Amino acid sequence: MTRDAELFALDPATCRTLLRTQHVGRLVTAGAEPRVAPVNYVVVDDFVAFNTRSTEDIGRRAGRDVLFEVDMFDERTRSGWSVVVRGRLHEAPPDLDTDALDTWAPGGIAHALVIAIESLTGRLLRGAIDAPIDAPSGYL
Amino acid sequence: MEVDRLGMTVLDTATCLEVLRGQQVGRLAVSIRDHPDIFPVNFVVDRGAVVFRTAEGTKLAAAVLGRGVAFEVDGVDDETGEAWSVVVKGRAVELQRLEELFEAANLPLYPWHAAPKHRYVRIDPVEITGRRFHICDPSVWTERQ
Repeated sequence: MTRDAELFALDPATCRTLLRTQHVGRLVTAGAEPRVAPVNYVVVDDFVAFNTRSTEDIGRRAGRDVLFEVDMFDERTRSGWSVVVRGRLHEAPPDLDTDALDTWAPGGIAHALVIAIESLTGRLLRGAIDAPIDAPSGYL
Repeated sequence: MEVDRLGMTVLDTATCLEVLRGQQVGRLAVSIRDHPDIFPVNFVVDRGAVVFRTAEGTKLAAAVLGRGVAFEVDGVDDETGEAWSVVVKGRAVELQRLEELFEAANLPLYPWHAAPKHRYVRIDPVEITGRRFHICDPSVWTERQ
């Protein structure tokens, strides 16, 4: 059996659900040059919250439009999904429950930042099924 | 290897390239008129550069060609309990010379999505940075704060 790959757009509710299934995403900021960095995060209300230790980054990025990407891909089936959050970067509101917020990375006291979610878009790729070159055989 | 001020191991260029070679999918970040965008792409490493395919007239082609981009891969090594990431910065250029295209056609690069992707894009690195660290126990944070 063969089947072409197919790309599906994901609705915002599905994107939000998928966003909550992961704990590493990538923060992308624009400027003269794009910057991308992986961070641990949690979703709290309408915010994506994460820790940073770079005070330089806080000053430079606060109030800016940023993008946050979360994905999952399976190399064997060549399938996967990617969800993109767009919004503005802020310091975490004082009443935000960031108890669940930790970070894998070492190094000093962290500072909580949030992205106020303005839009959620996502795509799902269902991989092609080619000739089953590496499929297990002979078992049935 | 060197350790940075946060206590992360700094990966040298050779190690970064080795890490990249072990991956199939990365994320291409761009800045268009000060607006960020990102595209997951499947890629290969060819002679120290990241190469991927795209199709004419796509959002991806329009967004990246001729621009400075940042290409990222990250992951976790379950056996060692280490997290790592590598970022390649450079300019995304389309391969145009016939011999470049013939060479690229021999790369083990099979787009995951079946739409025709006739163009090859290459990111020649201006800077490659990578970090690796042992994943901290969350209690480390509560104790320090």
